[in-house]
Amino acid sequence: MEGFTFYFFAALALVGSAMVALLPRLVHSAFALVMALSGIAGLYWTLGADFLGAVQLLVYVGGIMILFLYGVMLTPKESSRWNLQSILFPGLLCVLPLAVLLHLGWTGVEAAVEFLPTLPEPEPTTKTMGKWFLDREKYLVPFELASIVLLVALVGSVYLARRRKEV
Amino acid sequence: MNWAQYQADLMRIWPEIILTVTVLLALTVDLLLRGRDTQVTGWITLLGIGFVLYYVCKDYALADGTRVFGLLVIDQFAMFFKLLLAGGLFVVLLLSVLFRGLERDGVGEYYCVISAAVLGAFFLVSTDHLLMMFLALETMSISSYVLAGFLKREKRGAEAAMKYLVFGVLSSGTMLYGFSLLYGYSGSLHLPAIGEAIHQHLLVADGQGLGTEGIGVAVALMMVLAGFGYKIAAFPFHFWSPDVYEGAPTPVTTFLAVVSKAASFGMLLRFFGSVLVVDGEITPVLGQLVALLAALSMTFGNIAAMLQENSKRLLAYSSVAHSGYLLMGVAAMLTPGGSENSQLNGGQAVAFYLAAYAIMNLGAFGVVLYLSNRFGVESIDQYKGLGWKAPIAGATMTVFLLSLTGIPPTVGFIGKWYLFLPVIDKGMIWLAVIAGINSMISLFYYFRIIKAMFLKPEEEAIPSPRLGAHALGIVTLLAFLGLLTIYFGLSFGSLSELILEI
Repeated sequence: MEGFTFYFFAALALVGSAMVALLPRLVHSAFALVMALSGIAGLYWTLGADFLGAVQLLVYVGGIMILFLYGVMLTPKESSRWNLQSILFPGLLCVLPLAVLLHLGWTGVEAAVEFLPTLPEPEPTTKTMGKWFLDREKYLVPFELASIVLLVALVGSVYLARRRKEV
Repeated sequence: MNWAQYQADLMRIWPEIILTVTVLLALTVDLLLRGRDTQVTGWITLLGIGFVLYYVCKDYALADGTRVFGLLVIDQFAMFFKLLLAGGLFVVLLLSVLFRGLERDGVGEYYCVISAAVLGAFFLVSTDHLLMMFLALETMSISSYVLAGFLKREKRGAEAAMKYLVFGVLSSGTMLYGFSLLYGYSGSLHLPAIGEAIHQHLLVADGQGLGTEGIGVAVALMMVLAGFGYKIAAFPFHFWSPDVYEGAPTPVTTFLAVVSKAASFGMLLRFFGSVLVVDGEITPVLGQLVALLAALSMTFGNIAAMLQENSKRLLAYSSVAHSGYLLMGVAAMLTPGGSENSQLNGGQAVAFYLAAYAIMNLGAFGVVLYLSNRFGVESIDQYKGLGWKAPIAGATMTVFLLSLTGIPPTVGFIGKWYLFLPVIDKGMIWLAVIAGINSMISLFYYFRIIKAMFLKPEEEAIPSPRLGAHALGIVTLLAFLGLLTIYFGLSFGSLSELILEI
């Protein structure tokens, strides 16, 4: 069962990413990105990082994607996104990093097979984090300061964006 | 939950609490006044900062390195910087209240955001935890981006803010990447623990170079250094500073040059002081690089400053050069060796120079603001003859510029002397020589301003002085800062006692 969920989410992420790169229309690519990011969120869940998965869904799929779609909507349409000539050079540039990455990934997997069974079972993290945020010894002050950061960002962006009143 | 302990912790962060209240109060008062008044909000914020200053002074002696709320350290170092930051903000707020150019429509937001920036700076200098450090840095940075673009009717202001934001986000990202690498290698976000790990096994040279982990840590440290370099506007990371200094409203420029820079240097000292210096033993990795950055910053800043026509731009390049002087102290701090009985280390010298720099730079920008308030001029050509027309501004400007050059009997001279001591002690004679040459170069362009102000007769000066009601306030403030520059230049004992406690 665990194997199946892993392969399912991995396939979702991979197919989604391929579609982002290859689909001819920008809007379709943007929606394919939703698929890829959801797949990654799923992978986080299978690793036991439930909070990270939820944040991935909320922030990336929920927030950043909307921004992307707005961006696509506001930019002028382009007829053809790519042809072989235009991607040849960037493609060639990517070959070496990709090879290195695959190699590293493969050695990583080989090493992981060794020590993976020895790791403890992953536990849900949300509860612990929630407690830490309100713990005097842990992250209470950053938690409070974050609200000030958000307030300042809000006030600042409203000020910069609003039209000037005639005084 | 242990309520008594909670309360005890809260008692130690009074200045921060009052600052938070001030942030919220500025917004609320502005809402109640419906943005119709330009003065009341400013005075209320000033009152709040006055209380902050009072509590910082009151608790100064009590600071004994207690850990508060897990992540904050209340020690002499933090208190010194808080005093510096709150004092700097106080003067900046006075200048803001007296400044003509602020939009009436946004004063509430202005005072709210500028206080929040200092709140971030307060946390920045009193934490030794990477998470808290980054969050505090972002509080300060995000507020600064907003402040830089505060004059919406000015096109160059918007351009400046945009540049500042883009550069800033990139450098924050680089720094955060460095932080995450450090966390990965050492397994802790706590600076002393990271320092311990680096000192114990990560960066131990065994005669065969650094090894894989060592290289990783060195790269991470360089990334963090790049982030700091941006914040303090050191040489290869300074590109934003001339545009931002010119485009931002003058009080904000003052804020960036004095308060923001002091906070960033405080963070830099704390970071490298605990990561690379463990129990007085120095891990020798970054010293040479920082020395190089210092030499490049001061040389580049001074040479570029010679070519400037706008006084704010000139001061921006001069501020790049001063970052170079300050980095000299950091380089001395990170270089092993030196005599056993040297009384002053590089970090203390940097702290002293920051205080000196704050006083003289607040003054210099104050004069720029006064002249633009009264005569509407900002370029050096237009300053001609103004020394006779506005004698106090002219005289104090002379004092501030001499102090920036480092000529006795001003505090700038003592500051530079203090910076030279540890550098020479650590055997970096070449750096000291470069700094000496640079001081002479800087005399040239600082003197250009003095020359324009005094060596031309009064008749050539810009006519039509717009004598504002605020003139008296600014002149008093300038005279006070000028006297302070000379006072600390003559009797610097009290100031250096504070430094030696750090």
